[in-house]
Amino acid sequence: MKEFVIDTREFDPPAPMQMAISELQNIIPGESFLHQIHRMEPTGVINRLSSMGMDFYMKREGDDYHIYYFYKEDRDKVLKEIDV
Amino acid sequence: MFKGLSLDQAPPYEAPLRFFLTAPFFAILGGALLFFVGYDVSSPQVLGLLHLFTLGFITLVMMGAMQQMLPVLVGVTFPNALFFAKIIHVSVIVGTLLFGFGLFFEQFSFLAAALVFLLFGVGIFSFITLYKLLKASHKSATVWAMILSVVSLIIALFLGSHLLASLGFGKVGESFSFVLPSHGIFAFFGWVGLLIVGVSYQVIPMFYVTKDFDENIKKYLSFFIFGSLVLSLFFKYAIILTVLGYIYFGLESLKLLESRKRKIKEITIDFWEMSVYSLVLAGALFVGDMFIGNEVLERIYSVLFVYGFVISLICGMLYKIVPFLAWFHISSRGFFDMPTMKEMIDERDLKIQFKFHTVSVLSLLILPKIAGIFIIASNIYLFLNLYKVLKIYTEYKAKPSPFDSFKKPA
Repeated sequence: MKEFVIDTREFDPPAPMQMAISELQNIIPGESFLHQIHRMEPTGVINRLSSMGMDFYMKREGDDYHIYYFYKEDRDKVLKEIDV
Repeated sequence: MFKGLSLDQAPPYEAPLRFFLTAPFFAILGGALLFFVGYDVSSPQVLGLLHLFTLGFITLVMMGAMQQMLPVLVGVTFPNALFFAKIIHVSVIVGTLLFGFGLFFEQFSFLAAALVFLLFGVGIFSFITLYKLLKASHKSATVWAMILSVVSLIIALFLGSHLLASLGFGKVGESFSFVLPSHGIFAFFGWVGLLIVGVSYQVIPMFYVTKDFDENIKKYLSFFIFGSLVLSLFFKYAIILTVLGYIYFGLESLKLLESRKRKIKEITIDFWEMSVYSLVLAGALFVGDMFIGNEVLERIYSVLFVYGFVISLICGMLYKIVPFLAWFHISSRGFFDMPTMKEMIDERDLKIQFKFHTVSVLSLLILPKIAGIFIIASNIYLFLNLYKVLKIYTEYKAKPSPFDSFKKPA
């Protein structure tokens, strides 16, 4: 699985949401997933995922959030890839 | 497959904005009554005046903010958002005016009508909002704080309705003196306070580009505050825990703001600082008063809680939220030549309002009559500052969207 990474920690709103949504367009089922590094829970994006047929996994490491976005059917593959 | 990218999940700008722009008029009305009429401390006039600020200003803004945030945070929209907003807005305005005037001018016959409007407006708002919040698939710390806040609002509404009915029908019984403080506690520390906590979890890291709140604060603070509120019904000193919870929250929010990487000085941060200092001082006086029981202390901490803590914070948040929403709605229609958030309201105008606001808080503590004039000036400025943003939004709304030129002819 190919991992796309975006770091939105230093951006003012609504750039982080726009960047994440824009990048999600490049995700292909079975082939890739998106990894966003952000300073807070990106609730605006998370609440759009279900209608896009997508899912997410989020973990907090220190001050940063790592959010992984993928198609629902790829959940197991992505979690294995990121060692969860 | 990828099914949607639109940024139009937010409600129409006009829905929350009508709440935000009406609120200053209630403060102006309150200021005018303070200055031109005055009040008798021992009469129901104080309650009438207080509710012009708590219902007319604070609750209206809170309701607007909730309608704005719910679709983004929870991913659900209110049914027919603009119509819903209009119904609630009108009901709460009429109910608050009848309530405020009824108590201030001792026209108790107004109170029954006020009860109907407020039960309808606040009741529909709170039950629909609670239902939507409980349906949220991802319950973040903000969603939980909002749930507990709305539950507190429902409790405060029913307790308040009992009080209003007692006054309106002239049947003030023994229960009145027990219900009154419980209503106040759930309205202020529950509805207002918990919503501030929940919204801050979003607003501070988002707008000021700070770190997020500590994980344990987000996980437990709202429940701790709500739990201590419920406990205070049976053991009155439990309210001290609630106040300590808020002081802790206030100091943590200041710590985050001070640790922000971009150290640009903004007036909205001054509002935030004033809010937290008022909260800490009010909290200390409140706890002290529980053991001393002094009327002067009561008046000071009430002013500091309501006007110093909550209204300062609301002003600061409005100056972030209203331009941001305008920018968001205009840009999502394809315009990229509009003013930036900072350009929408001149920082000098914000400074003037901040000065009037500061003097309002200080004079409310010493000379409430004189404070009236500063409250009027401060809220006229608040309205005018927010109105500038509305004007920019309206100008762009009237223009055809650049996206239209890309549409294929039918």
